[in-house]
Amino acid sequence: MCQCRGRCEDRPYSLKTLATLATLTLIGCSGGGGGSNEQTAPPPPPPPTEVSLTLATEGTESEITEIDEWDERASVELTVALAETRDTGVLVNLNSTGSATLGGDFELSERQVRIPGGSRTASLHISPIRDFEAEGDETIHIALGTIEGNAEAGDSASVSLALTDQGALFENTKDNIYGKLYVSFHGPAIERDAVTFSASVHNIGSAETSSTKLGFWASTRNDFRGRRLFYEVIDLPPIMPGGNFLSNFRVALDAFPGAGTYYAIILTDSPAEEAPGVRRAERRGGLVIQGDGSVRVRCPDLERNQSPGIEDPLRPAQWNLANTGQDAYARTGGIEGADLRMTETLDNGPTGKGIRVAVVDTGMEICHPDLAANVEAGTSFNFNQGSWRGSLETDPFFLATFGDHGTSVAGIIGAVANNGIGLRGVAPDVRLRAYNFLSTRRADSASDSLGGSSNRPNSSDVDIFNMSFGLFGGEYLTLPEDRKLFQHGVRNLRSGKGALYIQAGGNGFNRCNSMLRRDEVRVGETEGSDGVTVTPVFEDYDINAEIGCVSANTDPWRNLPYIIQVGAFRADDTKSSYSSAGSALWVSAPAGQWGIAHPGQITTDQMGRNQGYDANSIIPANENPHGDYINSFTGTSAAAPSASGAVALLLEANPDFTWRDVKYILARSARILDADIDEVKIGFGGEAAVLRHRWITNAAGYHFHNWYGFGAIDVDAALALAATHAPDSLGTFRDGMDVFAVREAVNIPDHQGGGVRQRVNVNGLDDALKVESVVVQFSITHPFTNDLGIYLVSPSGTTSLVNPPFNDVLADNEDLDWELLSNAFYGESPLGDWTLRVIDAAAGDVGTLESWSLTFYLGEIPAKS
Amino acid sequence: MNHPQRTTHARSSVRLGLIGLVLLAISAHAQSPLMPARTMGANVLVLPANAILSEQVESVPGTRMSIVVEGDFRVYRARHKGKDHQVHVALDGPARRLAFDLKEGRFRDVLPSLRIEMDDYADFDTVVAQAGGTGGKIYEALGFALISLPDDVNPAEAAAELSASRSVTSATIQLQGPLYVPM
Repeated sequence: MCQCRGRCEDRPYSLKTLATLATLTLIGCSGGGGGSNEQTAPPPPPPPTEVSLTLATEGTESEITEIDEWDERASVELTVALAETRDTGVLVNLNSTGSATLGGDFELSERQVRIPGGSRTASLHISPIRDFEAEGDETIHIALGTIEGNAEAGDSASVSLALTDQGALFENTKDNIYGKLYVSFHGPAIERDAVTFSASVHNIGSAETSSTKLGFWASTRNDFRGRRLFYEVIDLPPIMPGGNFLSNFRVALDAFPGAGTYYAIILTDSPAEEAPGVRRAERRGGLVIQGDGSVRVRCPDLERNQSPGIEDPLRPAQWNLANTGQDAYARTGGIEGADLRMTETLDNGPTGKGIRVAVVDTGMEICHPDLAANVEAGTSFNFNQGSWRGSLETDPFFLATFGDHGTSVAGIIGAVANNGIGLRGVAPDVRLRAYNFLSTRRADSASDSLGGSSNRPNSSDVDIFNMSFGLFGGEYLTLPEDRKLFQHGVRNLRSGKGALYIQAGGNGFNRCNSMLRRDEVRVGETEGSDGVTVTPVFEDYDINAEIGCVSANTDPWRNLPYIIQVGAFRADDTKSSYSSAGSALWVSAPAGQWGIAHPGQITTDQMGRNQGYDANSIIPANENPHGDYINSFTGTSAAAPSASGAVALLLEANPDFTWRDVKYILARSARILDADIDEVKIGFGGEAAVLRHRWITNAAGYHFHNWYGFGAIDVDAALALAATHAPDSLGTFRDGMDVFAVREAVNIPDHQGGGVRQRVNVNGLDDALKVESVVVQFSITHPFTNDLGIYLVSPSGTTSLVNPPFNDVLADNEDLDWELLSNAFYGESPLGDWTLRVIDAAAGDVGTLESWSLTFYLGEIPAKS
Repeated sequence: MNHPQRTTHARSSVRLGLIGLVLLAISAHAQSPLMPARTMGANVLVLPANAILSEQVESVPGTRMSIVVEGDFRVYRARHKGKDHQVHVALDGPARRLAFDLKEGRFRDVLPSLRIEMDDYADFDTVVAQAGGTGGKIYEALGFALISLPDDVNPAEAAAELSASRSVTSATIQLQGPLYVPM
């Protein structure tokens, strides 16, 4: 057998070289010995076969000639075929020579295709890249390039496709910015002769609102029909973005006919001229008073028959604990396993025994029958004791009766198990307390509620702070005093092991308060009524529906590494529609989707029928006889308490865990959900940018996605990891001590997907140190920063989108001095070149990246194998 | 049908307040009533609570302020870096004291409190009294204390006074933070 020496495969052949090769082979073999004396020359290799290109829509045989840039399904299959098979592989290079730009207007799944030996065909795909530009129709022309192997270009050496342009979108978006009103109640203050309701109206949009009306009603009925105790309508003046208007409505005490429950509503007229279709703002409140005008605290003497040892009747519907596909009283159920994955834990695991959890919220009914046994007496705090006559300092009840957010949060964390009523919490033996932080605007409430106070209240002995709240978002920087508060918590509480701060990741995904990147896009055409004319078909297109309105990072506390940010998922294991996306998320937890069409969270509600949220609940009366429970609690507010409960289980499993141990265990044990989520790629100025990534696996092996953080909390897996993880084994925490800056200003190219890139070299750090979090600070001058997308790329090549373009809170925003945190690089080495990339996704404004820096939070984080 | 309206007490106070405002009207040519202060990472101009500035006052270069009464509102206006800003305050609404944030270019509420730092908090009660405060709380672990002020004390003036005190390391006004809401 004659053997080839050296590299024989994939060598380009021509007829001439093949003839030479045949000669050389004969010479080589004659000298090689070992062969038969009857050796004859092998047959000459066959002549090169022809290579051809053909197009077809995927799954069909028909050839197509046109592709629509906005048709997401328009993946065209390009087949590379040999006229005859060859024993060795053929490598075909493809060239793009049309007017459409490869990488900017369309993508090829491969630019080089190999047809293996023995095969005749290979295929690849042409996909349009959506853009917002009026470029006119273009041509995609793909031609055969160099061919390696025994083949040559045949007659069908190229293909062409017309790329249909759909024109410019969002041409007038920058004129389409509006204000949005949000109303909140403060108080009321209950005096000897009157009750004063304080209303504040905030403009959470980006344009000044015009004058309208502000109305206030007080009633004996929660539907505000019938007799009105009081009403007043006043002029509401214009309000600037970020501004507010305050008004007091003072109701004489003798307007209330006696002891009872009273309801109040404040609402604005619709600012229709600025924002057609925008709903008017309203807020409901109220109070329960005694005959003398003092408040009746929310611990009524109600009979609730508890049956110790009997399973909680709502437990089978609690899909966050064990999702079997149950509907949880909604119209449709979820899917099995879309839950906290705590089957083993429910059977025989920790229950959070002895772990102190503070519900930092609107309030909490400390005497709720499903919470009371877990409430640690005397530890809660009511910030409104001074203005609510008759209330107690240690009873943080919520005065209004339209639902107490904190009471519902508390049930998810720590409702008592097996008492024969209601539900069970994720950690049903925790010790609960609450601070009604969201019911006050006192200057001291944050320090008091979040571990900075050792008396009235003492929050310094809390293990876990549940923070189911946030801002509407904006260009805010973390205040030094806030950083100091949380640093104190993680450095000093829990005897130096650090308290756990767990916050809702935000509900801003579909909350475009200021502007919509919405337009009509042509998605096809139909035959006209005359049978000839082609009528274009348009559909609404909204880029924010794909990439989100408000990023989770647009809240300063979410850019601190000391707080665990929690996203929300539904009972079908996909993102809850509202759950904000952002690089600051750590993990996700079950929360659901409103509880009507799809399951929400089943939890505790203010006690009593028609007290609380239970008007929105559809739990049958026989299963909720007193109206103490709801099935519709939703929002990242509902996800955070599931995470707090899970963390309580970990702290019971090993009380020596530090706050960083807990973060590590959650990240490492989290499971991927929504695994097939696709990327969103848009072309800007002939170059594409990814506005939503697929799941990434970073260089340390951790999976990350801006929609979910490291993934869904997996309690059983976390506890299994906890069993082997040595406490405080992640090295010394380097708390923002390592800063690397770039101070060379560069222009940001207008409307260009490639953007501008700058690098900073990170060096001089111990090799053992790995990234826990990194914060990028930057200063940008730009007249309309809503256009800007900002990416950070690590030395390992991991890309994190820290600010998506079209972030709604930056509508009409000028210049940025901001800081944004990313967790995507967890466990990676910080050493090497980091790249900041800033793109400007919309035309008409030019800006400059003035300076930027990276602040690292480092430790010894093991890679995830 | 009983439809009680807003008690008249507040309306009467408004009228008296308006008379007071006229008496307290400050000429634009007088010394600027705007007090610069630095707090919570912001440089601000603290505005008087019960005065009007009928002409625009340029308190810092490039920033002009006016305070006028229009209908039921006191209207604060600023022209800053070429943009106009305004906020309406109800004359019969809750007491408010405003500051203009020079970095963010917007009006913000000043809280009736001071944040102070002292080397030794043994004299804290004295400092509270010196500031005209109604009470206070020491956050030892965080290294500061808060002093509550009555509505009629200008926090910027109290902070300036305390800053001159040897026992106080720093005294700063407090601005109302953004609104935290349930998620």
